[in-house]
Amino acid sequence: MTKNIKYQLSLLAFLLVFWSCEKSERWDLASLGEPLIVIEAILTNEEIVQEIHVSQSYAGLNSELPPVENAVVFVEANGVVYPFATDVTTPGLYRSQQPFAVVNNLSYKLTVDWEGNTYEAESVLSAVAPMPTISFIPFNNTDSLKLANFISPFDTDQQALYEFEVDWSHLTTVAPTQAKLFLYTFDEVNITQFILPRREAVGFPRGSLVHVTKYGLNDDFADYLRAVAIETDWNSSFFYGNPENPLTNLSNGALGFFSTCAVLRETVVAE
Amino acid sequence: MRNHVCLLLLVLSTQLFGQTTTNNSRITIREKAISVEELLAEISRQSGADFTYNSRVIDQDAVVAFRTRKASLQETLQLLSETLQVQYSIVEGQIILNFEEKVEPPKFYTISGFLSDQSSGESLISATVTVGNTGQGMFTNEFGYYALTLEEGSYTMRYSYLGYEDREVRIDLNSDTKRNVSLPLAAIGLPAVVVRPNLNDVLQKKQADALTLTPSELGQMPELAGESGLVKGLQTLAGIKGHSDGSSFFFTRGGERDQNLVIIDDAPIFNPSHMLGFYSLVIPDFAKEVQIYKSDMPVSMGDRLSTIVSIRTKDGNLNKGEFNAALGPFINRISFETPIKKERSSLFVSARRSNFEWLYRRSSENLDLHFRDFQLKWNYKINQNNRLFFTSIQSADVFENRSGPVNGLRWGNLASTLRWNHIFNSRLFLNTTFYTGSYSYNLRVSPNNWKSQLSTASFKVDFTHYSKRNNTSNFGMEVQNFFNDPGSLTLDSTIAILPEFGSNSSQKIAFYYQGKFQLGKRLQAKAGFRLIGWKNFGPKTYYRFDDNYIVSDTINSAGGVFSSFANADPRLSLQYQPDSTSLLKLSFGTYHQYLQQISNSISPFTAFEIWLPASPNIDPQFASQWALSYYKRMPKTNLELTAAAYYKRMRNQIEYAPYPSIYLNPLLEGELRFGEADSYGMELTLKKTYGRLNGWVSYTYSRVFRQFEDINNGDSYRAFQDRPHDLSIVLNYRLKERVHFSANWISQSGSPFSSPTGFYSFNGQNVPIYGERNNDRLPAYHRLDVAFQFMLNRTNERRYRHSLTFSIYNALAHKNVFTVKFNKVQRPGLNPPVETDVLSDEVFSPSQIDLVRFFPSLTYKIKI
Repeated sequence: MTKNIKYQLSLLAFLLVFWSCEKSERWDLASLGEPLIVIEAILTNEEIVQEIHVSQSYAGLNSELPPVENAVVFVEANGVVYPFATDVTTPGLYRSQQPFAVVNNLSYKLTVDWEGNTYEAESVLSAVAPMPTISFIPFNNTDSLKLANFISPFDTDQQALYEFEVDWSHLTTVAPTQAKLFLYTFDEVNITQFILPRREAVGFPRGSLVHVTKYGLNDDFADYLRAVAIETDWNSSFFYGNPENPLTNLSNGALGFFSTCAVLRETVVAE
Repeated sequence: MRNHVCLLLLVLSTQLFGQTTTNNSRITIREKAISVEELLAEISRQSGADFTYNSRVIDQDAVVAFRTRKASLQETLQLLSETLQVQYSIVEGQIILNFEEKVEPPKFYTISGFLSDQSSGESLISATVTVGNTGQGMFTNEFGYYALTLEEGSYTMRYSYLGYEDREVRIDLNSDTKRNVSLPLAAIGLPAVVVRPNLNDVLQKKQADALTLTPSELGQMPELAGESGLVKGLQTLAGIKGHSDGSSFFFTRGGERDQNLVIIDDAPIFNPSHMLGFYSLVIPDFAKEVQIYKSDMPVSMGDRLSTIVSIRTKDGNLNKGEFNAALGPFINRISFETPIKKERSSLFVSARRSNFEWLYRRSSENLDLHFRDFQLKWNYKINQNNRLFFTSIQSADVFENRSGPVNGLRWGNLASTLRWNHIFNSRLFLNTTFYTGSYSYNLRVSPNNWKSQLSTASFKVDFTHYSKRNNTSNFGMEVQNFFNDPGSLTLDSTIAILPEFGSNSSQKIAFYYQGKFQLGKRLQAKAGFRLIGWKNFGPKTYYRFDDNYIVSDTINSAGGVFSSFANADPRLSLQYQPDSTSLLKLSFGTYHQYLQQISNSISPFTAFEIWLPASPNIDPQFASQWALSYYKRMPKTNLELTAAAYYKRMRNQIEYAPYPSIYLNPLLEGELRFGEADSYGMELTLKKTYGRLNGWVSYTYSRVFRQFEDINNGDSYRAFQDRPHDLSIVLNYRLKERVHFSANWISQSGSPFSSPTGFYSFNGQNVPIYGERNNDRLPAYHRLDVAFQFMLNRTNERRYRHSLTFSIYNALAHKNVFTVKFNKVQRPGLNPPVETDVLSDEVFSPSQIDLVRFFPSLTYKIKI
């Protein structure tokens, strides 16, 4: 038996004893709920056409997203109404009819009317701290790269959502050529963060374009995103708690969240 | 002793009133001072009856007070009898006065002493002491002491203990007598499976609902990676449920995991596990007896709502040195005991360390993953009436990376007990204990260090009084000082300032009394109370919260007591013995708990423990429990049947706000939610303690529901530990003279958990939607463990004994799922990952996680 095999066996034995066996298995859900409206509305302080997604919840883990196409969507602030219209090419996507930027010291109110029900939420613009230096490290001892650990998961001074859109379609036509990741900084530590589950590492070729958007978070949106992370990214960590529904600011039983965020954007080439 | 009266009787009819028969007239006499002669004459006058008496019996000139009104002759004579201290009788109309019969009161004396192992001098707990065929008997206490009060006379005392030869001692009891008795081991080598002590006549002394686990029973159970665990042993008992494989959590009669108290020689162990729960802290060689109380808890112990597990440790061999070792691929342990001064003082030392390094050293040479224990006991017999004990227990778990600055986790317990046993007299026993306990937890991410700690320094005085009527009283007091740091951070100076955290300083004072009374031959009552005062001391900044859990007030307490509680917990039980083989017991008790573990984790692993005391925002947890127990012994088959039913109501139970912020949060108390829980159940155990085949079968049906205003829309829901069916089978069988086989089978309903009722998409992520809490249930848990123990000695003549144990944990490789997740992508094989790229088109799949499947181990044990 080679030393390498011995090592592999011993490591396997160790894992068998001291960590779990996890396997994909069918599980029939005990009960199913009625579909609910879901609103994803993150408006920014940039003078752009703002976007809001409206959809419905679904029963199956891999079900198609049921879009909501005939809702009336608008945002109001300081007496000014910003109407949103359906994007006919992307069902469920609503775009503001005019570009506008969320500004400081105003309360923005979102209203969605659908099938006789009105769903509302309010938000004020958050602040955003400077963008950290974006860095990369080798991916699995290959020539590819992955994001380095340059984002602190815990910071008492700021709370932020980082959206990474990585594009290497200019380098190859072999799919996949794009990836999108979310990372967070929160001012509280949750027990699930201590020993996270095995997460799929995303590698990309050198020369990829990395578009980074940093969203500054209000406390309520940070709480919501933290809850979403606990139920998704961080779920099945070593120390997991009772599952809950992330607390939304939307009225009338809608799911999702409405937030107005100051953002910073940066594009770098992965080197 | 009745003869002398007649002999002395002389008939001197000093007063004859001419009537030889009595009439029915009522007698009235009101005299503050009247001579006896006049009094008798007056009674004769009013009643018509004549008196006959000896002048040596009656002093006619004596003056007495006598008052009676419209009394019958009988009543008047009764009063006369009491006044003059004479007896009377009526014979053919004559009232005859006589000496009062002087019966010499019986003399009672107490026989007392200690029972011990003849070879090691180790005291024997719960050994039986019976008195011939009188029906009297008792169990030795937790220090091996007994005291029986008997009428003067000659008796044959019989001393018995499982695994030891009986001993009979003839005594002539004519004064208080001390008799220390040592018993010889009945068998050497294999666990004592064939020796049956004589239990006649002591049934009534047994408590129908107290459970005992001996090291012998624990030692026979199949092992996981070379160690038999305390918690795994507990889980085979009726009414106690485990969490899952690899977990040291257990739940008793619907209680929460922090409602169990584990004490070793009185000192509390706040986290009795290693390796996140895979191993128990108690080194098997170190324990002498484990007693488990699920209801009718002794008033001397507390204060937890569900279980007290009291572990008494071995004292150490007073007669000769002894060495034990167990060597295996994962754990090594040794123990050594030796007399310091023969028959007076001894020392017991045991140490254990894990041996995992060979598993990972090649791949991670800087990783340090181990646990270790060190346990020590010293005892010294000062004289017949005084004995000192000192116990110290240290444990540590280390999970660190030492490449560069040290990062990782480290946690441990430190507990010490100094105890003084004093016998005031044969019927009054004192146990005085100073003890400390400390549990600390460190998370080091260099240069920062997060730490939480719970410590206690305590003093307890405990008296046991054995009355002349063989009633037993237990009374005393306990003062416990707690220091609690719910989490503090030592910071790198470059990190922003964190909120201020306050540590907690508290004191508990408890007074208690419990009496055990024999109410006739078949009925025994036990009644007692525990009075507890709890105080929190400043300086401390604490907060008040409004109905929405928002801070409404900040209070700075400069010093002294800033909050306090006082409660009384009564404990009552009645035990009836319908016949010589069965017992029926009804008990009621209330319990308060002042320390609570704050953790919203429902994973099987233990760590990151924060404890909080009762405070202005946290009322003490409360439980009341009714329990009815039935015990039946079937002598012909050596079987014991125990059945119990209970109902338990718990208040001030703790749950958490959604996604609570538990760490580094000065407003932690605002994250807590309070509600109620109800549990009920029925437990059955059939046990065969003796014989070549022995073991037990236990079955529990139980339910537990919780209700909180802020959770699950205020509706009642199934608790995590609501696992209705629970079956355990523990079998030990001596296959051959030197081969012993044991097996466990455990089957339980799965735990309830919350499964999604749907999903929605946010930022491209699949977010689950939850409905009713704990709406789903995990698959049932099944596990078979087997073990073969081979004695390697062919004879018992060698100075050393050694054995080899081969165990298989989860021999059927059953997949015991402890959680189901919905955030993983479908992958063949083990350990599917969490998807991080939201553009990925990989298919999600539920995943089920389980722990140990089919784990064999081999352990070599030697005893010299």
